[in-house]
Amino acid sequence: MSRARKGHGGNGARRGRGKRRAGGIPAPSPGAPARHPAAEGLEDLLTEAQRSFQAFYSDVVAPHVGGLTREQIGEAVRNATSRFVGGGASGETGQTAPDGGGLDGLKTLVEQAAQTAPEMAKGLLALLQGYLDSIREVLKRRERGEYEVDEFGLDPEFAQMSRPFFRFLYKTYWRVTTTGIGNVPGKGRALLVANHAGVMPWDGAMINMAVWEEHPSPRYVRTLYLDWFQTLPYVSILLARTGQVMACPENGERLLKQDALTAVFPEGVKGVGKLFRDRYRLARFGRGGFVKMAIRCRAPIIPVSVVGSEEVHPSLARMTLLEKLTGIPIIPMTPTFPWTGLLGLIPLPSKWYLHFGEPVDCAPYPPEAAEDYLLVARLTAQVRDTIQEKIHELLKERKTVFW
Amino acid sequence: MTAPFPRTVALVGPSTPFGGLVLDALKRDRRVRRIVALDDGEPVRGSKVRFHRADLRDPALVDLLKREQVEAVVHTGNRWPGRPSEEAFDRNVLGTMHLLAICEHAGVRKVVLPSTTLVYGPHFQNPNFLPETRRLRARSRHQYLRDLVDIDRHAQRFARLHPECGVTILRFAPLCGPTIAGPLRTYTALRPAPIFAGFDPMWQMCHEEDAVGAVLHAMGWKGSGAVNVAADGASPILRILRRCGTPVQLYLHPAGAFAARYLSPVKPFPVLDALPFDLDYLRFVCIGDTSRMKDSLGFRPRRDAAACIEALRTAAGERAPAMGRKARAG
Repeated sequence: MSRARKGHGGNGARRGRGKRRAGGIPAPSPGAPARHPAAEGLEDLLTEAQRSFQAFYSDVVAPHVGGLTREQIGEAVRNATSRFVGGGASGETGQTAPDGGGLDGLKTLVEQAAQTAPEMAKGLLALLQGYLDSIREVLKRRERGEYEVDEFGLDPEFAQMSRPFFRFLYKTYWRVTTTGIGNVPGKGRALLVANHAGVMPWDGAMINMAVWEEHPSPRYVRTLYLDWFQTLPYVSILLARTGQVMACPENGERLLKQDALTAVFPEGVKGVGKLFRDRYRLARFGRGGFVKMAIRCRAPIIPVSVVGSEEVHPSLARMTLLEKLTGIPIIPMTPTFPWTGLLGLIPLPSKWYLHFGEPVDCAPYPPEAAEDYLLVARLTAQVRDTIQEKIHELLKERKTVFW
Repeated sequence: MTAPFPRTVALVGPSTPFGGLVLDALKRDRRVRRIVALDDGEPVRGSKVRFHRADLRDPALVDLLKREQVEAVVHTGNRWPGRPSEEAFDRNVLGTMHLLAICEHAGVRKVVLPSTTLVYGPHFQNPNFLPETRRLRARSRHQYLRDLVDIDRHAQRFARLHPECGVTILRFAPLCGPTIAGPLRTYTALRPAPIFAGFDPMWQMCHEEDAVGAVLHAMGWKGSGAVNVAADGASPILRILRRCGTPVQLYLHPAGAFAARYLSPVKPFPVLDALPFDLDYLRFVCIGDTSRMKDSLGFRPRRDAAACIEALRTAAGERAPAMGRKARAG
């Protein structure tokens, strides 16, 4: 944090210099039109963007541009980006707008930007180079096969490299608010059971990120995914290397017996295939396979309620014929897909809430109880109702879809 | 789950590479008093070895096994020449079926058959670790795999029907080591090795010495049925190739598979013919669950996946120049 503040100091100095330069330009006449409300918002936004960019520049780039080797730059960049991407989203909101508001301010702003642009470009280039070098180094090592992978295919190094992207989604894009993280055990087995929505398994990624970011002892969540994803090139690798595992009872039980934190979406395809008008109404929870799994392994079930995932790809209709022809389980029609092509695959930035509920203890039941259908059905219904109730609560709290 | 260790062991096919390894191990083992070697090829010698030239389809073997008081039989005699042939099927599949029947009539109480985990077949719905109870669904274009599936199915059924024979099918993960040219060793020696872009399934391995150890361990095992035998751990196939220093050639999935399936009868694909298993093994996982090996059979391999890769690397390094010469000559 101290470095961030130092960064703002530098930013102030830079702004001062900008002002001096701006002195040469005649000030706008006092009779300029009154401030347009939109301009005010725009200005705030621009100031904000510029401030964080300058902080980033003076903090990360400037000290390293001169006289440093590319490796050192790469090192610094790696440290800084992880810190910056991690903390950049939530702070910086209480700042006041700079003096000289209105179009005046806007002009100064553009002025400054134009002035610092070449320097910034140079810095950015160095930054990019350092970053690429650090990546190249890792890739070279991996080219020789020197990386470790667990028996399900989790590659910790790869997972770490992909994390900034998911952190951006978690902190900035969907601004996930997580509660009840204390219900997730810091070690030992547990089965997270969540509602499923949103066509693509973003909710799984966000549950992963929540445990990684918010939990006092971060750990991997092994999400069980639909077997169909195995047939997709690259997707199958991405899922496996980040710790996801194909959904089947054998895999689930093996994970739980290894004391892994495992996550399932019992609604499966029916959950993600829901139409927008059916949002937040949980589909059938399979045949209770997840309860059987938990009872056999004596793992606590933690109900997880996810709000926000239904709006990322609001499905207006399903293209059933195309689904049958291609073998893809779900092809929805959303406001953006397929009309805008690949752009339609970009999820909408809704506001998300995640809640980890009280664990349902399965330890009192003997493993044979997994074959007691009545017990399994009762526990399934209990977990499902817990999730549904919390979703209703969270929906009441939520003011709008996007804020 | 241990039974008294057999004193007289019949080894079918000591002239095969794996048979040779098992023979050496049996010679070293003090518990084994006599080794009855049955083969239709070169005779083998040794202080406690008695060689008989034999065809497995000969019913007179019953008398031979009775006369020699054979307690256990290890069958390592299956061999597949380069080209698919009816003869190989007769020799291997029918031969194994005959051998099982002969063992039943001769009162043998332990039969050990090596098989492979590849018989499960690659499939996108495969759990990451396949239990022995899984249906065998490999439908290979390679005769050795088709025949092994045949043999494995028959042996499984036989083991159920005749528990007194103690038929044990050891499904080995692809073997690594200096002696045996298992499918994985052949694959990593390809220059370049084909892979599908965007697929990188996990593979399991087994060191040849551990495989021999498992055969000997199984001879003193009371149970019967199939057991997966593999080293601890698994590795993505691409990582194995990288470690071995094998250059890879990327193929796009649907196009490559389409060409392989529909064009290969018309136009031969050298890549396909050099590949010792089917293309789908490069897309989906086909790994055995080794909990039965550990808990019931009570066997623990001494080498893990990393050691197996190391063995592959050494083997690939040794043969790399030879492969280069061959490629130039061709």
